[in-house]
Amino acid sequence: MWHILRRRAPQCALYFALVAAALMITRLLLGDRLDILFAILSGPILFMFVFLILVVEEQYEEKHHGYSILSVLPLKDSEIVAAKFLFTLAVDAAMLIFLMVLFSTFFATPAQAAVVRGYFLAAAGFTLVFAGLLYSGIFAFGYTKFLIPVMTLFTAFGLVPALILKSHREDLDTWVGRTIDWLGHYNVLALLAVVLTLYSALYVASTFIKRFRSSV
Amino acid sequence: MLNAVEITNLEKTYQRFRLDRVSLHLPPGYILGLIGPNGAGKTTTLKIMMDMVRADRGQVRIFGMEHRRHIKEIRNRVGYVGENPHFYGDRSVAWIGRWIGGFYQHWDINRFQSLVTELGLSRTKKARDLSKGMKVKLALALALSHRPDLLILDEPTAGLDPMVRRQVLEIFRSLSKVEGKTVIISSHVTDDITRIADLVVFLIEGRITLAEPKDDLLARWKRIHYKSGALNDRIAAALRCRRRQVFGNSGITDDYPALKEALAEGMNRQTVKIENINLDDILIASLEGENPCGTS
Repeated sequence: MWHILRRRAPQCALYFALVAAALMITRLLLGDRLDILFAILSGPILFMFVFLILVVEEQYEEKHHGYSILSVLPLKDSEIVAAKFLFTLAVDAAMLIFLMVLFSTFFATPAQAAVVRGYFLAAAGFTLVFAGLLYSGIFAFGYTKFLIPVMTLFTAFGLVPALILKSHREDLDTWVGRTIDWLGHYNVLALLAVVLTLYSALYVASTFIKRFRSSV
Repeated sequence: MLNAVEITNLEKTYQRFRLDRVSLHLPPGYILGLIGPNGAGKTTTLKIMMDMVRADRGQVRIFGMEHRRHIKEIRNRVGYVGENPHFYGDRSVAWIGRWIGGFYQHWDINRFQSLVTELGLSRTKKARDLSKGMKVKLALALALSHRPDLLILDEPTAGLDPMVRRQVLEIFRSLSKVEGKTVIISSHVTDDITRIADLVVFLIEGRITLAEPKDDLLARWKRIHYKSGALNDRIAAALRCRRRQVFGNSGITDDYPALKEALAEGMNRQTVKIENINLDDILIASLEGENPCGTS
């Protein structure tokens, strides 16, 4: 599985390096003016940037017949899907954790760090489930056929929360607080288990669909 | 002896095409030429063998293994060259060789490097800078470097210049005759098939219309030139692609051995002349029902 993705590993490392560099520069420019709102809003924007790049890369891969290269190699369809699906999710998850650590360390006071971490944990759960849905659709049906739903979902994912936040900015602190409370009510490990179960289900579904499609 | 390939009643339906109960049995060490016009189902058949397309019905066994259940083992023993080989454009020939080699159990990097040199490829050149012919050469080098027992080649010589085409066909022939490997080659360039194939299969509109050893086929199908009245009406009526010309008539028979005796007298009187025909002529004559010899 790793061998399939060896080609893309340097690119992923570059994204992480770019995001870290951008944040460090921002931190230097901001100086001591720590802003929790900045942390809460710019984190997901950065994440979405990486998320979009991964989706576009899949499109590029499909357009340039990346799957037809793999489909004649000694691999099962399920291995190809697993490599791409799980790797893309892993990159997304790693980026979320990376951003969470960076923001809670460099852009929040120790008191605010807990809020930032809570926010990221909540966002991570929802985002990864959404990403799982999106990627499973892309891998099962192909990017081209999945283009309209992808764009619709992506726009909805990007715009709707932004509009809600814009119109309820004054409620943001309450919303974050409620999320933390909600997380506090549930065991984070149980939540993680639910998310992982969902990933597995989505992976199995996309492999199943792909296996029964006429072509890879 | 176990057949290298056994295809039984393969069916696949697309919106405007149907592969109709295709069956094939290919013993190891033979070269099979799959001939047919564009859209006849050659690529679909080969892709089903590689499990790149799923058949609606039928069975494919390669080296005795059910192809879908044992696809990894099979692909480790099969070299495949598609109609339009694709590579990651931003990677060099050497990188592609190393990367693809990582997937195979028995990758021979020395063989890959010697094939790259032999076929005149530059190791440092990126895939996006390769011409169509060069890409085919790279695909061939990759398909041969894990020393496959079966080669599946879909129009492999398309885009190659005559020199390289001959060189590549020689490689296939040597693989079969010297190393005992099995080769399936699909093409509508019948010259290539004539040059190297042992067995010929005609696939027309999704159905196999002919399948037999090439030499038998060429011995059976002949063009008969005859002067008016030199053939009895029964023989003349059974000929395909009949043409009336100023200096005589001609037609193609698909059973020359059966007519040989009846034609002997005319041949002695020089009112009947027999001409060998090539696979192109046979293909066109076998399509007679829809497009009489391509002349109407």
